[in-house]
Amino acid sequence: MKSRTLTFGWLALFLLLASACEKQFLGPDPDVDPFAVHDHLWEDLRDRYSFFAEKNIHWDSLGTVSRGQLTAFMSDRELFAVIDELLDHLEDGHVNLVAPFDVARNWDWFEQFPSNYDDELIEAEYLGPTARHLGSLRLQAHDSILYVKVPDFGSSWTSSELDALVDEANGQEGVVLDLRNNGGGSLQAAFHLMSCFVEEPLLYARRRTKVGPGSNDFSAWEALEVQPRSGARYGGKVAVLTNRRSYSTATHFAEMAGVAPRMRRLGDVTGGGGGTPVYGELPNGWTYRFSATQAVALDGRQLEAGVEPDFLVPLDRVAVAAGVDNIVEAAVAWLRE
Amino acid sequence: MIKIPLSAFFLLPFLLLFLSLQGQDADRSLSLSVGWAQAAAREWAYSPLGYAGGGPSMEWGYGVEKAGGKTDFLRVRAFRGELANSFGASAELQAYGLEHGTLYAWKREAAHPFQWGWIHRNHLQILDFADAANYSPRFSFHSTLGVAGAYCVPLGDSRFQALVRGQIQVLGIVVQSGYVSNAPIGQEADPNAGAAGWLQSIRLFRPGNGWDFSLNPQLSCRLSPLSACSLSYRYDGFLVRGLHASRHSQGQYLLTLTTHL
Repeated sequence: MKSRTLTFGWLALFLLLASACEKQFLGPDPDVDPFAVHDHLWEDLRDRYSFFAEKNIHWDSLGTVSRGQLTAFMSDRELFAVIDELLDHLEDGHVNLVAPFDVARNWDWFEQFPSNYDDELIEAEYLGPTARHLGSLRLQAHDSILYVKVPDFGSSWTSSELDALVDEANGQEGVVLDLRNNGGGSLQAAFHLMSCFVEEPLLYARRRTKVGPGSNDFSAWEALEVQPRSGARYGGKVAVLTNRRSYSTATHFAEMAGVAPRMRRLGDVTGGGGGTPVYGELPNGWTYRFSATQAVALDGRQLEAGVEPDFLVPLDRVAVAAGVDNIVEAAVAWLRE
Repeated sequence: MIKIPLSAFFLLPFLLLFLSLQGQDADRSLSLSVGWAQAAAREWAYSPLGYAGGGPSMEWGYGVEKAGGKTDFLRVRAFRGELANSFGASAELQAYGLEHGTLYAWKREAAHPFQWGWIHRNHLQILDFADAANYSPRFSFHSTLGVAGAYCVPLGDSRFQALVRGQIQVLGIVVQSGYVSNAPIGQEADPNAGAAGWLQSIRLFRPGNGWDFSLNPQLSCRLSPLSACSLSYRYDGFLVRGLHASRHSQGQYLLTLTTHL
């Protein structure tokens, strides 16, 4: 009798535990009403967004106005529009709200400026069908100048690819690195590319991270320094081309180029994007991202505001019509000096 | 910066236990469990939503029964699973555990069905969110001391026995990913601190700001004088409160083979 009781008791315990109680321990998911969704996003940015003071943004009052536009029965698209408007005040390309039907973004940092770049012209006149591909890089040599299109820093390059790049550059009088329309990517990729062109460690900026909800809760400053690669390096002159769509990691690269010897930047101011975006998810499943770090140049400038070129050169549409990119040609002229 | 390989963390307690037991008159057993685990996790640093799913799970155990009903044990376990939230977003959860301890027969009666004792438990969980391009995966590690118990009775035919094991952790240390990044809190606060940053990341684990408990009913069948197989369900619950709370639970269905050495 006792044995039977134990058997049943044990089986009851087994079944009780095995009845999918993993989720019970978590508790229920939060409400998905518009107020809960809005407040979750607003509070997270209040605590972790890194540029309120630098941009003179009064998040509390913006949140009050924004919350006042909510109603309990508003549609998802109406809620999206309210939050989109709230986020727009941050004027930050690293701030997005992603819903199944749209992506909220602020692209003022390039949409309100001339592009200073013509992709068809570059393809036709400077790359052409014989351009070499090294990962995402595209190379073409013209009259002892190596033109390199760097479309993004989405992924880094292998050591062999960088060896090949340096090998190609070493036979040339100068190198043009075209970062126009480069929207960024991995900072490590930028470090790897820059490591091909420096002979000494290159300290170019400092970075700090939000570490608490207080407005001044930041980490200690961390030095951002490029180490020269151990393999082959290029010791000649390098021109770096930027425009307003050179963003995020491309802005970092432009700042590196400003500190590096034998490098000059030509074109337009970069779009900025000095902060590293952190990602989050809302109670209704929408995702979002926002800047949670700051990066400043050695003289204290926020990279978020963009990096100015050494030579401000707008793209000349008349030259473009004649099949010439005058920014590339200005870079070539400097390289030949 | 000093880097300690993860394998050292797993192997050191095993070696200490193994060496301490050399030359003693004891019944040693080795077990291997494989199975499937249902898991659920909520990582507030990324999302208020719970993620749930499943994946393969395994556990390796080493036990030493000594005179007077004393049992030393060492268990290592690993789990890796694909989780998703109610909106279809996915995450990968990895969980690794190493625990060791000693159980004593109640009232020092070797034949008593109830044993109690202490347990040292290390638990590492790594949660990688598919939609987070930066600062993922996030991790949480705690190393804690707690109390453990086991109740074992024969069922009808003496070949079968029912065993229920349980534990709850009461005091220890915890290291978690930071407020924004996935670096440990101390290293996030001072990226220049090197190894000291790890030390500055250590927080106290105690009831109230952390939970770690398990319950493990098991049905065993003796196959031969030196071997047995068992079917078990193991439930684990973990909660660490910090700058962001992290909650995780697992229910594992395990088939175990045990052999006496």
